[in-house]
Amino acid sequence: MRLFNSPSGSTVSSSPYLFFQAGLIMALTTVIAWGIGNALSAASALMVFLLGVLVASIRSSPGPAVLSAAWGFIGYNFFFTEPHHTLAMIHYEEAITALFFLFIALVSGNLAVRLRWQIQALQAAQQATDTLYSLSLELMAAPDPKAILQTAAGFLQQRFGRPVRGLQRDGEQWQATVISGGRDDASEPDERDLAAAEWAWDNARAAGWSTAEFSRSRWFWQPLVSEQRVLALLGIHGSKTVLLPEQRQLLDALARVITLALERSYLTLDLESARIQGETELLRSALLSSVSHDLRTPLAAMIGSVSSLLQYRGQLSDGDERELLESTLSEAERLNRFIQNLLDMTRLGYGRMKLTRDWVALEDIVASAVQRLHSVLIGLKVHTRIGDGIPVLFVHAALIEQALVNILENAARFSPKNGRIDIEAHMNGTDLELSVADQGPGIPENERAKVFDMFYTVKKGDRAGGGTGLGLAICQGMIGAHGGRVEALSGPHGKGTTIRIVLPLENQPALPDDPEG
Amino acid sequence: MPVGGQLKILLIDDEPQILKFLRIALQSEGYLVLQATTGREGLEQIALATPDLVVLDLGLPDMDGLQLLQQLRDWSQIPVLVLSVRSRDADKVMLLDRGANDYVTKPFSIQEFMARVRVLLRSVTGAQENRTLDRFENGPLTVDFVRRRVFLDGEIVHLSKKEYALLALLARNADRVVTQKVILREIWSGAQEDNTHYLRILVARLRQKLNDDPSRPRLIQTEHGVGYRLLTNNET
Repeated sequence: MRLFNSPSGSTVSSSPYLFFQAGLIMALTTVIAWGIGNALSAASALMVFLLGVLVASIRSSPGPAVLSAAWGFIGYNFFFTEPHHTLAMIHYEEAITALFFLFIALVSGNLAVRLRWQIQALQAAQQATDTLYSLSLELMAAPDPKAILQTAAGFLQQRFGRPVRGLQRDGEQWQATVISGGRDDASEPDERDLAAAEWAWDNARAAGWSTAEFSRSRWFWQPLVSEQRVLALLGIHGSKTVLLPEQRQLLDALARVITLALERSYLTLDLESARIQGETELLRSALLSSVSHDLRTPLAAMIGSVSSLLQYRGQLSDGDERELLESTLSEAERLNRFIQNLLDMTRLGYGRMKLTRDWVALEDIVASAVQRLHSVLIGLKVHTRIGDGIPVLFVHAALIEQALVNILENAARFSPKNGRIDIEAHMNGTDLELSVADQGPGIPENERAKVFDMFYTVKKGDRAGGGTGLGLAICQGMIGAHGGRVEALSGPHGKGTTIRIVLPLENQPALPDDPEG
Repeated sequence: MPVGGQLKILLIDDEPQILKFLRIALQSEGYLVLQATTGREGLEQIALATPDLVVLDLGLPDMDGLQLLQQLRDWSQIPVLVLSVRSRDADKVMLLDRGANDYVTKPFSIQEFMARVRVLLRSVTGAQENRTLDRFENGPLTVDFVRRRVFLDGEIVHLSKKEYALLALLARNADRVVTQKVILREIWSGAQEDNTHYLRILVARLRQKLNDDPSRPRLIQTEHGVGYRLLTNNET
């Protein structure tokens, strides 16, 4: 199949045939001209010869065109100029006519050839454009480099009628992508073929079958090069007939399109991985700064208290001793909560945590959270009001509890002495709304959405009170895993802060009432 | 105040720091403390030294807690208190269902630990205090097992069959955790063994009738994902 016929392409394929064809046409022309010349006049015969030259030339190339013109000149001379049936000419005007004929025949023959070529070239260019365009379209749909190579190989296989492979380098190993489209009876590239491929890759030059390098390889390897870098190799299986120059040209053009597609794809991948790396880096540094602060503060207090107790054993008053011990205990408990948060967060963050849902009463979750924060909530008035009509929840209880613990701990931290914390729950349609209101300083309205942002809170992690800085972000993750959300609102009467958990319950499994109650 | 001069407690744990503080605390309470750092050693000590209580850590170097418990239960009914971490909740429940008697989750306070130890040793010492086989009394609550009646501050409380069955089950195991599986099996005859939904509703109704504040229960305490525990005044 010829797609990219160049003007020179025609001569390459069958020059002797074209000469033969021209001769045949001129022989026929001579017979017709003889007939017409005898019936009418020598001038008519001359016109027939000219027509013959044009017909012969338009299907041919310069050589046969010249042959036709010469044939026409001799034919006219032989049959129609005095003396007949000789190549001599005695009439001056006949000789002029014959020479004019020769000149016109040469020029018009040549013009006819060039016209033919131009049409051919235009057609070929059109076809090549179509081919490139359809390949580009197909490549556009491919999501990654591998898919691009697959598509390209399938496309080339169809166009060239030979098995085609795409090769990607996978570390030090060669990884041949599976070719889609078309039957493929070629055996996979063996060691010898891959050696040729490796050379082609390393030198960024075509190698293998039909080239000077590694010509014993059964595959022809075309590197796809972008900015001195080989992105991939195209392998075309060799056969008895070599690749025609026009096919090589087509291959080059297609290779450029494939290279562009690969470049685009690799660039997208690079950007994506850079973005992910950037985020991971941010998260890591946020965690590190948080860990160094949030782990060290309680540890410093614990080490200080316990070493004081050791150092001044027997010298401390009972009250002092007790105070140091209590602070050690409460700091250890804080550390424990923080570590729990860290563990939960890493599990949530990497999407590995699976919700293990079970039926649980909201009252139990609240009771457990308040119980766990017993030492933190000392000195604060905690009021719990759980409305009627709240169904039993089908949730991962430990996560909801941890979310509530984080909110309560936050509330306690910002509460004034003897402050009041209100835990309130009610149904709003099919949503459960669980709010914790404190009497702390409150959060400015424009910062309310940001308190759930891990980076934001961590940046402010050094604020007074020694917060974990991650609590609310984790809280949101845990409630989010249940399809709910967490909101920061102003407290009751515009004072303090209310954090509200909204948990949709419409997707909870429905159960009939217990038959025996 | 020492509970019983010569009660023997075996600690099976491979972490020396945990062993150290448990030993010091238990000795301060007047118990005789034995130690083992591997499962094999632990089983040997149980056979040879016949302790009254085993404290078993879930993570041991040579065998896991479940294996040890299975081997132990072939020949001994000695009370076993399990030490676990939160990430091993599932293991903990499995152990309770296979014959462990109670658990504490690390990190725990020593008060919590001692409370569990005392409750488990009650059955050994036979010190049932004010409890007999036909009656449970705790503060304002009285359960009459014979007549199947429940009184709160002397007033009779009308309970449904299932409510009574649950309360009686918890009361017979006062201060000990009763796993969901056991409750579901006992009360619903196993028909609903996987469905804890009815159980939550039943507990809510029982608490209401017993005047137990669900957000600060004094009587029926929920052990998340494990089961329930009836609290008495004697312990936490």
